[in-house]
Amino acid sequence: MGVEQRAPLSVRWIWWLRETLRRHGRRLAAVAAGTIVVVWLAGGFYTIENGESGALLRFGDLVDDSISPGLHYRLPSGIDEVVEARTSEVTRLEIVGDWNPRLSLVSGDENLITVGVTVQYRILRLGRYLFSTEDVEATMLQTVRAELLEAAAGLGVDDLLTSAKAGVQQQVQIRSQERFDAYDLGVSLVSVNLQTVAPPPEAEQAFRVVLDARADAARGVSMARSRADRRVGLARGKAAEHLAEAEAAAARRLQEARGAAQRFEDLLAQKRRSPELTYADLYARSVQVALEPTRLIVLPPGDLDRLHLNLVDP
Amino acid sequence: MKFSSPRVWLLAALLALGALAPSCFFIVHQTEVGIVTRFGRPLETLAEPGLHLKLPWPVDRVMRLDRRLLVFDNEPAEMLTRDKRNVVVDSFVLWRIEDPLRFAQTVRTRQEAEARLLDLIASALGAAVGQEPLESLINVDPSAVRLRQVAERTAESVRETTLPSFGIAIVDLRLNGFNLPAQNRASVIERMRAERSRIATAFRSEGEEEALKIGAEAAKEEDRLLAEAEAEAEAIRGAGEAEALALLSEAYAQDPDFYRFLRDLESYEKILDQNTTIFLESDSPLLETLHGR
Repeated sequence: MGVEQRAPLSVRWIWWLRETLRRHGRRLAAVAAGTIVVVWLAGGFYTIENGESGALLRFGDLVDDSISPGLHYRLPSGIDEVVEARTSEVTRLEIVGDWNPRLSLVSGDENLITVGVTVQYRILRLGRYLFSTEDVEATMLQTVRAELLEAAAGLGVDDLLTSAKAGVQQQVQIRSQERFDAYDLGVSLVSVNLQTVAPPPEAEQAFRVVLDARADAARGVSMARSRADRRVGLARGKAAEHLAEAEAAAARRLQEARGAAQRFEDLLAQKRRSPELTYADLYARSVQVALEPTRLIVLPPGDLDRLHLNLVDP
Repeated sequence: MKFSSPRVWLLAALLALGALAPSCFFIVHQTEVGIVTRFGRPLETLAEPGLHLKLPWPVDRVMRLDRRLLVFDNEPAEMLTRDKRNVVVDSFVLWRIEDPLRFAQTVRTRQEAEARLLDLIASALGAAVGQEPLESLINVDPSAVRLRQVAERTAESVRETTLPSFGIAIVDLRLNGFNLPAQNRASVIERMRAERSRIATAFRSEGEEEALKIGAEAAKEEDRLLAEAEAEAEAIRGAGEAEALALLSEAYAQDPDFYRFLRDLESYEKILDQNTTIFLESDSPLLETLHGR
């Protein structure tokens, strides 16, 4: 073996390799093939992130559409395919017109309005969401547009701009959902939001004038009401004053009567004690009082019958 | 090695088989339906999603069609209502290949299908809109709005043609645009403005009317309150007077003659004043009394 020992290291390596292959060739081939198969199969592990769901397709056929988050295994690529989507989140979709970010609608009373609308939806059945239509969002967008158009066509412009907003949102949501279910879209409409409802810019000023007029009218009415309240309040006060005065007068009158009665009773008592004296006294005092301011003309007895008076205003 | 030897033939056969093997399998995706054609003629049975076997190329070939709901948005078009009003109507259609064999035999491609749909919808929608006056397309009474029925009638009429002829099912057809023609816009806006100013005036005059009404109500209320108070005050005074008189008459009833005497005296005191001139004869008892003093 002297020749072999003298050969260079690389040559000896090849000799060794040839020898090993000759002895263990079959076993090595088996190990190599096994390794390849194991690696190929190991490529089938995958994870579904939190908040996502997966759908498993085997040779293109949907097998399972509700794979939950976590580590999973599928057969390697070429056989099984997994599609993931965020199913826990609510997705926002803007409802736009064909050439315009807002929709232009016609109200029931032939007025033009533009509305800005967004909807929010959630994926309910992943398999249907992924495979029942070519474009779920386009289907949703067009359906909501159709429902909005119908809602606007049945309402006056004043209602649309003010009170009917909530009703329209609700109606559109319910009716759109009915359609989505019929189309088997696998989505749930969470909300429909009318962000803006506006008249066309050229007529905006006119609409503002109406609002102003309404505010003015309301202000006028409330001022009239406060004036009226004040007037009625004053009248009520005056009425109370009348009553108080009347009561005071009545009380005063009663008091006077009481005084007069008392005086009468005092005099009566005196008269009962000494009638003559009382009569004379009272008479005399009265005559004195009565005659004091008068002009007294004393005539000889019997002249009074001959007196001719021309009564003139002094 | 001779070419005619069996070993060579076997090798060639194996190679050919290996080359053809992949074309014996085909996969149909969840979104598709497969039609196997044998020498160009479609077989009756359709391939559902999954893995399938077929005869190798060039005997069998596979044609795939979309089996999902397809969305097709039309272009808006100007139409005439029954009462000769111009409106611009837009629609979209949700359709599906219902009969893949027929579809494959007639229209074959999606573009071709949509071109047919476009023509059919345009004429059917025009006819449906032409049957309705404008007031049954837009109306302030929601129950009078027949847009839905217009769309349904259009869908019905399109469906009659597409299903038997092309294998296309119309799942739904809806109006997604309804407007007045652009050239009418200026006059519509003008009308809207005029209407607004009329409404503004109405608001103002209603407000004024309401204010006047409130003022009048207040005046009425004021009158009523004062009248009531006066009546009540009168009653109170009357009651006071009555009580006073009752009190006095009770007192005077003790001696009516004395009362009459006192009252006379009081009357004299009141009747006689500085404008009074009294003529008395010198033998009047009144003076006698004075003389007597």
